[in-house]
Amino acid sequence: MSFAGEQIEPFYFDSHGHALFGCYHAPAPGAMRDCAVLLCYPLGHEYLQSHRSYRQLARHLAESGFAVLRFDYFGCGDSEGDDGQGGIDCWLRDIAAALAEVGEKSRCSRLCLVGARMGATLVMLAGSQYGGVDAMVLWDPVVSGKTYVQEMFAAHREMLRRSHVKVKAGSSDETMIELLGFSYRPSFMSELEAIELLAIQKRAAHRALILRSQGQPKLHDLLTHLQGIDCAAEHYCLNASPLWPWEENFGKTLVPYHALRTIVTWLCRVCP
Amino acid sequence: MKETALLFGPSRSLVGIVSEPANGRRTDSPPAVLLLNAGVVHRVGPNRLYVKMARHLTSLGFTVLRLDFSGIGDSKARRDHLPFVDSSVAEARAAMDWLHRARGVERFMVTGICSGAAVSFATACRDLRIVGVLLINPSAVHLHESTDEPDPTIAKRAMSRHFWRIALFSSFRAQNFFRILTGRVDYLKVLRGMNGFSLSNLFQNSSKSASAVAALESKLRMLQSRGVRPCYLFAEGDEGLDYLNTLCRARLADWCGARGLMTMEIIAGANHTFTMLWSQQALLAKVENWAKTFAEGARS
Repeated sequence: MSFAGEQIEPFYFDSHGHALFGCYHAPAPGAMRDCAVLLCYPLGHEYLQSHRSYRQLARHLAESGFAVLRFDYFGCGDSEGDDGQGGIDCWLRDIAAALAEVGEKSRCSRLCLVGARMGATLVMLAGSQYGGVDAMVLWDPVVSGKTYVQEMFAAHREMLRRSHVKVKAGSSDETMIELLGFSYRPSFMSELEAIELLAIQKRAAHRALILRSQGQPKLHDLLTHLQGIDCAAEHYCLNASPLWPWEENFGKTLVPYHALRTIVTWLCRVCP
Repeated sequence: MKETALLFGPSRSLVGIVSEPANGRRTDSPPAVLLLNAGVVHRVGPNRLYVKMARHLTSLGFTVLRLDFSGIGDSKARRDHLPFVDSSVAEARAAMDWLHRARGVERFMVTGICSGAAVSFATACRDLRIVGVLLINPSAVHLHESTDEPDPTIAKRAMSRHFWRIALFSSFRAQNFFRILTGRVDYLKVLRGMNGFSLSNLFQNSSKSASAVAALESKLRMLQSRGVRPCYLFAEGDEGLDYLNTLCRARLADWCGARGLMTMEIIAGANHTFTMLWSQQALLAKVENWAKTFAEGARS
């Protein structure tokens, strides 16, 4: 049995007393750059549907010489905590802990952040809060938390319309909000609704790439805003459908290689 | 509870998470549980169900290993072109080998959703260390020999049966009628499904399906001789339930009843991936009941 030569290390690390799961991809020997990339996942079903793409992106970045860390926020994926226990501030602290972890493991002096959907939003919030980020990739970012919450409720209603499910047939926690297979605290919805990327006035990274999938909302306002706060931002429209619409059969979700190649090529260019 | 990330397998290329009770394993500890990938969903499972199942079982004293087969989740892809039906069983056995070496586990229970159920069944048939198997919404693959594809004739009849069952007999039929009356339904999909229906179809039986039924019965009898009785657990909205019923028809009652070859339960109102939170709770309760019988067996 033979395998490709990539080196990965799955492990748990501490973030403010919580055990978070991370997977470190060592840079390919001979191609090493002085730059580490932290990949920040989206939430809920979008996390599940994008995991395969993130894993492939990490592999391609490592092959191009980047040290890469993927990790799960508190209450998400393999990390400690139940659904609904996390929150925006908690996850921003998790990003800080993950940045420290990848910095320590890789010994790289430059740091980049990549995120999709709410992961992209957290990237920008973290970058503006902590500073020191060289470049960031925002893939279909959630610009307005209020719109995102409305979209999630609409998608849940659409799921109920199409799927063979009974809306209510047994006990469940009435104090939680149920959306597409995951539970959320009502107060978390308020946290989401308060998010507005166009209100951020502190630069989140020196350079930024904004990616927009086919059919997703236009992001020119965000581009202009980033450029206005001294960030060298670029915008790219992908010729690929978004990964985010809910699918009952997650196996139908494809890996958008064009998007992954675009991210890798851009990062190679701005972090030589 | 303690959770550890690990690399295992002959090339340390497979990724898994082992969840263990805080006080470790004792001599009277129940068998360890393996959770096998549902399709290409990585080891957290659909709607993070495998994490919930693993932590719940660990709270009951079980050691649980959730793993990614090669090419799924974080595990590396194989380069030896071994078919999935063989590589998946080999990798499930590698997980058991790791638990044996690292934790001294000798007996195992295995479960999974969809293709994870199919691999669970195949692994149970090939490995004597397995004492319990729970098939959750098993895909049709496990009903055929490893080299066979699901029979397209049966698949068509099963889909037809599925649509009629959902429309006329399911617990959510009133909901469906309301959708039809209000135009909130995918008419094309329904027509496609009903297209396979004809009375003659209901009574046809191909030689291929007869041999598949005989092979399945043979495997169930072999498992019974080892004291293993597979537990089939279906969501009411799952198409696999109709495939099993279409293929095995009246034999199922005999297998579940007098002959005691298997058990079968249905969670009414649930879908294939247990999207609704109440259905996730119902699944966890069923998994707990299944697992507890082995915990009691271990103590007695």
